[in-house]
Amino acid sequence: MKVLVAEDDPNILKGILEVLEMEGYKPLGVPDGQAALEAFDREKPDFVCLDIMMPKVNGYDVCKTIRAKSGTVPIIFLSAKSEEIDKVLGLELGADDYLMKPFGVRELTARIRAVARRCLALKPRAERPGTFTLGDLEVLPMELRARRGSETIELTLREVKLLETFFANPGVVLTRDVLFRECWGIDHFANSRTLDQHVSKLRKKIEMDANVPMVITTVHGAGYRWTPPS
Amino acid sequence: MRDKLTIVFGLLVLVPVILLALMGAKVARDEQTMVAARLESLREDRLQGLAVDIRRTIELTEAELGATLALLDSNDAEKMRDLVRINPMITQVFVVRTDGELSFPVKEGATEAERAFLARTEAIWRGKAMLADLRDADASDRGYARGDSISALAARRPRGWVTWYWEEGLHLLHWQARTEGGVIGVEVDRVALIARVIGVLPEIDVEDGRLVMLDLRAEPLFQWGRGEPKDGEKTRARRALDHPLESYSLAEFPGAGGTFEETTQVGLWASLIAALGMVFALAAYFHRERTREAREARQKVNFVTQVSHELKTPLTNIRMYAELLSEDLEGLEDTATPRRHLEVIVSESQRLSRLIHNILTFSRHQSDKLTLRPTDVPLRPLADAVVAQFEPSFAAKGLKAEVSGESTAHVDPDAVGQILGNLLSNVEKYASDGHRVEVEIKDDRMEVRDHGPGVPPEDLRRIFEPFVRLGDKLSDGVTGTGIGLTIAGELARLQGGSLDVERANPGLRFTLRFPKEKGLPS
Repeated sequence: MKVLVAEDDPNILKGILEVLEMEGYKPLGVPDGQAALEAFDREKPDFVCLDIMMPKVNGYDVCKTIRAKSGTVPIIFLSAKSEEIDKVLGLELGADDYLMKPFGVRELTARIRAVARRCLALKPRAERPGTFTLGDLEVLPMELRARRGSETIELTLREVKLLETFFANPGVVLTRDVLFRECWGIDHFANSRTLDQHVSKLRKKIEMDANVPMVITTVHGAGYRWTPPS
Repeated sequence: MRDKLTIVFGLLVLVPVILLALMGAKVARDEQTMVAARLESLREDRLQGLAVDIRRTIELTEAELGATLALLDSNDAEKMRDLVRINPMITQVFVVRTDGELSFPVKEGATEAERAFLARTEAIWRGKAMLADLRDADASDRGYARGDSISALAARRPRGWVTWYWEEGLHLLHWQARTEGGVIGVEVDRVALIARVIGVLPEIDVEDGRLVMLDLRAEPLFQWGRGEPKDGEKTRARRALDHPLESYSLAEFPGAGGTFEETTQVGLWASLIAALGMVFALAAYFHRERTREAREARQKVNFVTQVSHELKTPLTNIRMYAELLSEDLEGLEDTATPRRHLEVIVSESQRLSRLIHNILTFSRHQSDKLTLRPTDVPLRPLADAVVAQFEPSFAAKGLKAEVSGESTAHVDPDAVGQILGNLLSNVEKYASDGHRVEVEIKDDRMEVRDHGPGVPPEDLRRIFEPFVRLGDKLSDGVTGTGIGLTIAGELARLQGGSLDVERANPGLRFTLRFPKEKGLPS
């Protein structure tokens, strides 16, 4: 899922790109409104994050132009301008959400996930991923959630992709290379610790006891495996 | 709001001033009317006094003529002609017989002057003149009667005057009844009589304008004061003289400064305009001062807003990168210490975020720009998210937060988050000794209960006042702006709900009540 992020502060931009990358999106960062419009035409992103106070073209005008081209692509405003009028103006221009600075990773990912769910719902029925189960864990890719009994578990796009990959390969030991290729893309050069961190976080979410994993097990020296219950 | 204040201020200034001006104008008008009436009365008295002086002079002249005529032999034409020659007041003597016919002068043997007299008095002797002695006429009979003769008049009075007009003006006959019958009389020289009248008139100091004695044609005969006649001028007072000079009058004309009424009107208007000018100048001064103060206040608010906004960008970076670093530590061993350090950074950056948010909310509230956007909000996830922010700092102080219940309310989610954040921040600051805080969501409210030392009953209401820090051990050594609970209370009120506090023994219970909306579970 491609995400265009327009933000003039380079550190915030890098941080957001890192968070999006971690969540499993394909982020594209630009430093001003003019570049955002050019990138929108070129890359056709699935959704857009816009700062308001940007050089060359401000976020409101970028939003208006994008809205004129596409009535459905979700847009989130990220801004330090928290005045009510800014919020109202942003939403009236067709933005879907508004995230006030300073925000933390949790707020950012929560808003992005909400928008991603809307993006998934916009996909043609044939392209929509279906629900599947890993033992007693029911995974709902369209909702970026999993369920175990009455418990609801929030998942990132990356985590859903990992679970989909394990589900598609029951009982198969998946090496880190395979998992990278399937879940990060063929041209991604992440180190092995990145994968281990993701698996560790995922286990904390889906395993009954993360120290004794039952869904995703480690095959030392080889990789990870999901063994369906017999 | 500023426009409303300006209007209210304007009304507060203008209404009393207009009322005072109206009352002042009424009092001044009444005073003016009273003074004008008094002046008019004085003028009438003055004219009346002059008229009385003139009448007395006429009466004196009348007495002198009576005495002269009493000694005159009415059968001796030469003596009668001598009288005319020696008495400048008399131009002709005449005698009327008992049958009403004129016995002197008669055409035969008449002098030129006597013939002229006969000519100008012919109408009188032929009964064609309208004669009347006004002093005989009662109030309902003021008219002259055609055909009345001097003999007929003499039947009613012993003496009297007859006036008539001939060529150049008024002519006067004074007559008196003879003991042997008939009438003897004289034609009085009008000029001599007027000269005598003027000679006895008093000196009058007419400060402004002029006082004039006018003849029948309104030509001035005598004038007091140095004023010049003007075209179309109006009299201030007028009075006709008494008989036989009733066709003459005394009139008072205003001077160049206008009438008293005009002068006082001009003064009144000038005073009113000056008063209004002063009021407007005062209002303009206050308006300018208020505008300047408002502009300075706006600049201060803008400055606070701008600085707060500028703080947000670095704060976003601090918070986001601290959290990312925390994510990076996931799965690594021996990360307890760096994790603790990162939690402090994250916790403090969140505290700074709340502080900036509170300052911005407070400044927006101060400038009446604070508006909320209520929507249907599930309260449990919102409360969980806010409580989650406090978990590290609560854990550091041994505080445990519990959230229970679930409901949906029609509220502004940011405002409810800010209210709950401020309440939990207070618990962290003042009630960590209680080690517990419960957030309970009920149908129409959210309760936050701590188990700390609480607040004395007399201070309970004060804690919502801005910048109030209770001066006891509770707040000693605790930092804060003193606006957190004020903002929480205002945000609750602005969305149609309320925020109340009660002592829970131990601790305090804050109850945030939500507005009731149709379509939502009650």
